[in-house]
Amino acid sequence: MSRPYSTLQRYFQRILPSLIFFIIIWESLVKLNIIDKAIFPSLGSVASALYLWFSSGEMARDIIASSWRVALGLVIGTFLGIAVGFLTGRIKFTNILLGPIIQMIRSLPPVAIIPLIIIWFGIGDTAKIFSISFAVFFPNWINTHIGAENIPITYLWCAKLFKANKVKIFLRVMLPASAQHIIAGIRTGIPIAFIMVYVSELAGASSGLGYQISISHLAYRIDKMIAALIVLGFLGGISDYLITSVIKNIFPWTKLQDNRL
Amino acid sequence: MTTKPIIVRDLFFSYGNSLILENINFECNMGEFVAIVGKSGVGKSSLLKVLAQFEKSKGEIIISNNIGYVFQSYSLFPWMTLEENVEFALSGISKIEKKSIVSSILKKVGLSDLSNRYPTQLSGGQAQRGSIARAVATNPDVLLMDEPFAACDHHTREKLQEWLLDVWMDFRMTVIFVTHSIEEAIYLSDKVIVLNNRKFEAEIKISFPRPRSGEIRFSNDFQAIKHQILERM
Repeated sequence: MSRPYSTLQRYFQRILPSLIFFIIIWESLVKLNIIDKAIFPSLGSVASALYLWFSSGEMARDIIASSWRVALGLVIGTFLGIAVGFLTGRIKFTNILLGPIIQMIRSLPPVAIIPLIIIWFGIGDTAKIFSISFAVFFPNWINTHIGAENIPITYLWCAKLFKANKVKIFLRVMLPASAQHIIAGIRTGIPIAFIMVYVSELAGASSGLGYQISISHLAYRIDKMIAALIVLGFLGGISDYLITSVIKNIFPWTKLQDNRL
Repeated sequence: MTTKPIIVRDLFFSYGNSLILENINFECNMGEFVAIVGKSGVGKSSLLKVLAQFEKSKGEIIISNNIGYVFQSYSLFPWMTLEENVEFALSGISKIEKKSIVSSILKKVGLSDLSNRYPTQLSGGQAQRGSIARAVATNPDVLLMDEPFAACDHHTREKLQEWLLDVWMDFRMTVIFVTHSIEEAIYLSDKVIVLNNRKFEAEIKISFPRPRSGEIRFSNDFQAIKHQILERM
């Protein structure tokens, strides 16, 4: 089973040119004294901070803590967003009932509700997972809502003619017909989940990447802060890539519609 | 099944406040190929949608409940292969039976080699043949076709017409074929229904013997019928 390995290998091959470009720019700016080393350390200092963090075992602990919060928050927020998106996108009554209120709440910055969530749930994992699910819900909801609303009527007429039952119509017609929108919602939700895990860990945690950035900030360890940001960005990028690969295997026809120049 | 698979009496259809069809009456016989012609916006496609009960109307429609429908825009599901699209039409039978029916239909329509392709990987003509294969998979009593060849070029269109007549001879279902092309209507059908100004205008019998050859298009009789239809549109 070399599939996950080859997927990761492909990911690294894909990001390598942009990574090399970024490193060259970074090192040039520091070496040419264009930016101050005190506020923007060299790649070597950051690499050393990364190594020390890794060898102490704290990196693994922080990655695991943040990752499972993100994973659980993403799953719950995505599932609810898609489910409610179908309800409001396809059923007039549900849309009248829920649509306006969801639209109103959607316009709030999700981080604004963190103080309220802390009052409700404290500073434990429940609060963090709730705030991630809350933030991830909205992009999934709006994308699924639009996708479900715009399913071509001829597809539904066809299903009706072939006497398909409601479950068959949902699973084999409505869900795939909205898939492109649903995928867009899921992909939009991933970076939002990482933003929320970071912010919620800043607000109170004893492990996680946000917590690591927070304590490094208090100690003025800019190298460690950047190291933690790199890991956070890397996790976000790899999550998007892995989820997109899984989705493309579930919905293979989406691979056929790449019209990029 | 009665000998009249379609009976339409005093049919009215409105879209909001605008009246689309007014007092339509006609009947079709079993296994008959009927073309419907008329100017754009006269209600041809609406009539098909009403017959398929996609839209609600006033009046009486007696029609078999085993209907096939071919849309102008193919409407094959882009997320299914051709084989899966045809299989989707079948229900209430075992997987093995489904496979066998699908393979025999795709063979009949000459698309066996393309069964694993997705609709986006097919040409317009192939996609429309696939769409017709899916529509006839349930062996319908009535096949409703809404300008199925409108998007095809002249050459492909003529080939598809020949092919459609072969399929129709095989399945022998009643076909209602909406088209803009009067020549296509005369060449394919047993009778042409002319719609004008939302109303039923005329029913013209086409008595060319079958199988028909493309040469009849140049005959005087063909041209005379064409003029007769044009005068009623």
